[in-house]
Amino acid sequence: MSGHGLPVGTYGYDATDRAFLADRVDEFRDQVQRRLDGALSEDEFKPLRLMNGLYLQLHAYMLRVAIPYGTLSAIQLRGLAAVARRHDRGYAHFTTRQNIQFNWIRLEDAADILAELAVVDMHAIQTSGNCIRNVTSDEFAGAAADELVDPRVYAEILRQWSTLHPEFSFLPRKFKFAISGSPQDRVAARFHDIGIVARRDDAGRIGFGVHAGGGLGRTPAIGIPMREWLPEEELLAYMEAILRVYNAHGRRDNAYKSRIKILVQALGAEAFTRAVEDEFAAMPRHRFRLEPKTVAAIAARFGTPALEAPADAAAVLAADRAADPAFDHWVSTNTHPHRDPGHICVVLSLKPTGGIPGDASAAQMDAVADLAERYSHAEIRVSHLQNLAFGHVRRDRLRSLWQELAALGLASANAGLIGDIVCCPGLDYCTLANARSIPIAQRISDRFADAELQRRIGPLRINISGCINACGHHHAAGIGILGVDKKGEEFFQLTLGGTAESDVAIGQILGPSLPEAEAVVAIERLVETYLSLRTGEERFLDTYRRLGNRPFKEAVYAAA
Amino acid sequence: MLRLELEPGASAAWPEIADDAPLPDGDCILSFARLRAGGVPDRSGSGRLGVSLRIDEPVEALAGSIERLALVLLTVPAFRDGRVFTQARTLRERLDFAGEIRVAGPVLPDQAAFLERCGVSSLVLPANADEAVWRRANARMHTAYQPSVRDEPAGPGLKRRSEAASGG
Ligand code: SF4
Repeated sequence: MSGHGLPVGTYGYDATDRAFLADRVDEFRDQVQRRLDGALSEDEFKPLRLMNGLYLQLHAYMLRVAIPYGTLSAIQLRGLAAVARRHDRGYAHFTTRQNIQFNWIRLEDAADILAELAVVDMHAIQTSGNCIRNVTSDEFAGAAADELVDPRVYAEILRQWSTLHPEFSFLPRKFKFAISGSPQDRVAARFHDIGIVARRDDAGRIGFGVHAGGGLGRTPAIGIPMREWLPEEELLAYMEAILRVYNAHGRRDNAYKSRIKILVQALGAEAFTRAVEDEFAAMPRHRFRLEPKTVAAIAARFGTPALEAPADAAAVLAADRAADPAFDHWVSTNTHPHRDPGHICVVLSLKPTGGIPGDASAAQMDAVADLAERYSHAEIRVSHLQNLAFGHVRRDRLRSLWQELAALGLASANAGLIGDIVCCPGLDYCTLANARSIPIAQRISDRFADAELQRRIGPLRINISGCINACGHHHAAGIGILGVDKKGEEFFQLTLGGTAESDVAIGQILGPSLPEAEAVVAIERLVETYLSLRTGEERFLDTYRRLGNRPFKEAVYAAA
Repeated sequence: MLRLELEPGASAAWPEIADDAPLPDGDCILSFARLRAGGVPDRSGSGRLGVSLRIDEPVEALAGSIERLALVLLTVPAFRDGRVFTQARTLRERLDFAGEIRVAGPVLPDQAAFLERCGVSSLVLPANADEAVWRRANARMHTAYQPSVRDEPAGPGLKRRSEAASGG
């Protein structure tokens, strides 16, 4: 445990933070009341409820709760489980932006739910609307062996700075940040409005690489490099400069052209960068300077885990793996090296065969909270791939954790494999959808249920979006699936070759869209083609890059 | 005209003068277009001068004349249009404008505190506005997490006390 009563891995609220949330809940209660009284029109109420995470969906309101940088405490997870039980139908849904959604909310209950969340220091502020959204980060932050800087302190600084920002709460469109502290990009930094990579110079000082203008959606774009090295103290000033240029010049006449990526494209990378640098040079930077004492004060509110493991922890794990092939397979797919040799990071798969990606029941959430307390310093992480993770598990206790996870249905050995499908809510919930994304995800998951087959296929990401808004990040997957509307029928368009990792690429359309059953067959053919053409252990992406889309296209369409 | 003062001493109603009308005695507001075409008229002794800007007119263009202006009126076309926040902030932070910034148009009570922290001095409220709702909304939040032109006392961390409008 932390030793200071502070939550491990996330910022511990103080009395002022709690008072702030209480003010905010009061404000929302007042806004709901003004809406119910008729003092606010729906048009006027909409941006206010959106800034509190409340959407109107097909069948009910949906409440999206922020999980800042994807880290939460066991107490918070139990708080979310309680909301799922009391106000939803016993489920919650983890999203690609490390948030959690409740799909069956009544407007009359919304302020009460926010008050219940505030008890566990959680909120729904800025989880939707044209403002700065939840800042996402690496699910192995503060734990991964390859990490240079723990990005979460900076993610928290960005969260606080962006919270009810007086200038940037009515932007042309939503605005998304991701921050990583590892050279291995696990946050899709260049697919964000601003993507930040924290690093260190030779003297050990912290600075940031900054990209801007990336995004998915209907016009996928890879962010342009703005700064190779932004000193720590200039972080907020520089973010202000980027946001100010966007707020002043981003388009407001067309929602499809209002993201910062369109402004970057319209001005050109060079002119955009110049505009930002001019703003940065002219602004009163002293006002925005991020002082070391400010960073220290925020870092001091984070609990740190006492990493103690027996000297033979690694040897115990090695022996456990040798003794149990099923466990060994799970370890090879669902863990990640920890900076401490006695510990390991673990992915809890929310992708059981035939399940709904990212869904968790209230009972599972409570059980995970218990496991987190016993195995990982009461800390839980949510990944942008809709799984959960534990950051700091002792190697000698991994097998026993695995057994407990298996009993909960959370030990599918498929992290990063074809069964680890990312999928948006689609037409089952979402008003904007063209097609149902969940059933096709379930069907594909069923087809590839065989764990051995999944291992043979190796790393291959399938992402599914129910419409061009791309919440399922379909462009960022080896195989992307996009729901389209063809004369009132649900069709699916396939894209190949995307990845959000360090070798970032946007998936390319394979050919005409297909009805659901044919799309599932097409995925099988793509996989068969890959398996027959790959050399050695070549990943799907590498085979695709080597051969282009021709053999894949033929396999899917020639036989049709 | 109902106005909400976000800082003490924000002044009374000033007439807006049509582009082809002669300047009256006393304080008045000219359009940005008129100012741009004719420069800042010499008003010595006959009243102060304000300028009115549309949302798409660049406040930076006032740089050369800002010292002779006592008021800038910014008109918001829709509450969703957040450019006004940047206009106000640019006036304060880049042009060092020390006069009154007044905002008119369909803003929401929930935006008053944001405008205040961006340097706006006063709001022209919609005709049917309930001033109490505006005052309550503006006094709601007591903490802010980022610097503003008000330079509120800071710490610990990024926090600062966000002072509600004094009212009156
Ligand atoms: S991608 Fe489209 S269908 Fe899916 S959640 Fe987003 S808006 Fe809805």
